[in-house]
Amino acid sequence: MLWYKSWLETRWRFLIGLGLLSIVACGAVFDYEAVLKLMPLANQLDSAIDTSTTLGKIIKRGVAVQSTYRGFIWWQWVKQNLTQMWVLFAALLGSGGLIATSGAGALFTLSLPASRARVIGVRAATVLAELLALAVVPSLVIPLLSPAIGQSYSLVDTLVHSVCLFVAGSMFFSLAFLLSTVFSDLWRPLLITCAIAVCAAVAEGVLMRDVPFGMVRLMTGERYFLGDGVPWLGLLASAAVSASLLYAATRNIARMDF
Amino acid sequence: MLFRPNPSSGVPIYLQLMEQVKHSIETGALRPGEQLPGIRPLAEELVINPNTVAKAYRELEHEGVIELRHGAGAFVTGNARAKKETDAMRAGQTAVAATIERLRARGLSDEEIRRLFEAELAGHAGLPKSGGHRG
Amino acid sequence: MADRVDGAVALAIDAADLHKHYGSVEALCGLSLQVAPGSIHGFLGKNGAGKTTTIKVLLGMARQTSGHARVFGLPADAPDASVEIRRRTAFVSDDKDLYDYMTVAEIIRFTAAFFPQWRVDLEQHYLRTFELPPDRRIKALSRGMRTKLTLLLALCRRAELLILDEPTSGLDPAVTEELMQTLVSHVASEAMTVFFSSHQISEVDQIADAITIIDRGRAVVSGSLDDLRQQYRRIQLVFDNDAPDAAFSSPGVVRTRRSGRILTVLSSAGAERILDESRALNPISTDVVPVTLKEIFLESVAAED
Repeated sequence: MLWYKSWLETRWRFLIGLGLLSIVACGAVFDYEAVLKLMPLANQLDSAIDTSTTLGKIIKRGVAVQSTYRGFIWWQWVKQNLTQMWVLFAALLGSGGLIATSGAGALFTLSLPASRARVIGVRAATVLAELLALAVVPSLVIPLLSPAIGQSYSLVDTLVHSVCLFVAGSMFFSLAFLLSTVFSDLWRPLLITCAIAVCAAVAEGVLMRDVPFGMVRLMTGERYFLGDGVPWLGLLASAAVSASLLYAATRNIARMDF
Repeated sequence: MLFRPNPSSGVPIYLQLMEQVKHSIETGALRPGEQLPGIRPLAEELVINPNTVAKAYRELEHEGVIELRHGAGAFVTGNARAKKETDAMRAGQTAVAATIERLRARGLSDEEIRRLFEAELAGHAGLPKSGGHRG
Repeated sequence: MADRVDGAVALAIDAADLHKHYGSVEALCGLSLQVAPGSIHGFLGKNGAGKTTTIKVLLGMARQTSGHARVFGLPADAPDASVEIRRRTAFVSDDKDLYDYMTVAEIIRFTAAFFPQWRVDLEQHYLRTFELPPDRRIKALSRGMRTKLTLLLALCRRAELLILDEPTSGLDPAVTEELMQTLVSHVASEAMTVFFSSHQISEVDQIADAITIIDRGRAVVSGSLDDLRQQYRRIQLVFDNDAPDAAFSSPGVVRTRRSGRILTVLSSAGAERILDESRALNPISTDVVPVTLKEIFLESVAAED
């Protein structure tokens, strides 16, 4: 019944995320038609782009990648929409609900014959399952809907990118979860996690531009997209980080006085 | 049982209950051989601890006032001892009535009279009367 | 209603010299507590005296700084033992805080899942007698109904020990009476120990076998209520002139007060010896009266002179 309780506590955030992401996925597919129309114009301007500046390099690369449907989906959906929104929901679902706030029945839960580890373990597992669904289900819209615009997208690609995002991005969920054992409100864990996510992404974009690895690259499955295979090592490392953060959260809760 | 336990009287509730049972027997409200209320229903009715009722019944059995028949309940014993106490009680009732009338005639209120009786009884709960006189 | 076996009766609750600090605040300073199985034990104390802290330590919600606390003989601060303790204990908290977003039926199903021996018959009985609407959201329940629901959740799980923190606070007299009747009725039919803290001294007076009074983190009075009623006495000595500043050497003197020609002594035991001593002072009158639990409480937690 702890599963049911965790579900009740997170279902609206989950369902809203599911709906939102699915709609955006649809939008991405239909956006491609507009992009196709712009393609000739983009090619004309291609030579005009000054590739000696950083911005110029990025724009040129973007145009090049998005010249194919697969590339467009990766650039637009995986790299931007899915990753950004998913991380937001990972932080949102990880925040709040662990320490006593009124109306939450914290003492009642603590008086039940269930260890604290089990209570928050079930909570974490429930949310991780929801986050996996959030990574996979909206993404399935792409291969399902692509034929409607005369394109096709590989199911395998969909699943690989979803899993990469889920495993690598789970670090943000775990961080929010750990912060929720320190702060009793919803907002501080959420805002701190989001702030760290943004800063890390920006830092990586600036400092690790020329290096072939990084957190964002891992989440977006860039290596796989470029044909270099699934980044197993990176996924393993991020899973380990996630697990450590969750373990720290469990230790916090175990020694807390309520 | 028409009885409201008074927790603040300084007398344990089980003793009050015992007195009430004895009083009921003496006035004939409970006759020899009649069954007393069960421990659980009585505790529920009076909203007191069932242990308290159990203790009162045990003590009453010890004094021979009632007998506890295993599985059947508590019954008033029909013995001469209880009868003897009835006679003593009747005499006591007359004496008490006379004393109260006298005190009222002296101008004491009922509340004052009650306090005097309670103090006297509490003072006698294992204590020798000592010191001074009453004005 | 456990029969006493010669020698050791396993205590339902046994705490010795409990200390608990929250930072610089000392919530418990050497509290000792003994609750016999099958008894109804009242726990009295002012706000902030440490009642809720004690209960939290017993249930493993907080960990004591030092001292030991055992429930059913199991150590309350060991996580595994604590789960076992909670399997056999039911708790009704002060704030009656439950899951606002669940309905009555949902939280009953939720709680029942933890207890394989859940009493469905009792659940139906209490739903009926408490008039709890199964489909109502807990957020929409009145305080009285939330208390009744919490009590239902506690009573249906076949617990050996029931811990109640201010069960009747904020309730009107009708609901209070209903709750007390339910409690008494339940204790009469199940072998159960009840440990409840309360501000309502009259309730404790009525149904408790034994009490503990806690003040500033320490137990100041404890024992069987019947014994306390028979031992505590107030002795009033009246003198011709101003009452002497007497110090009684007999043990059991809780407090001595002088007011004009009257000297009042509150004794917790041995009123006889105090009376003997008082004769030497030549009072013109002596009065011995019983003491109510409320007076015992007020005198025991009064500020130090």
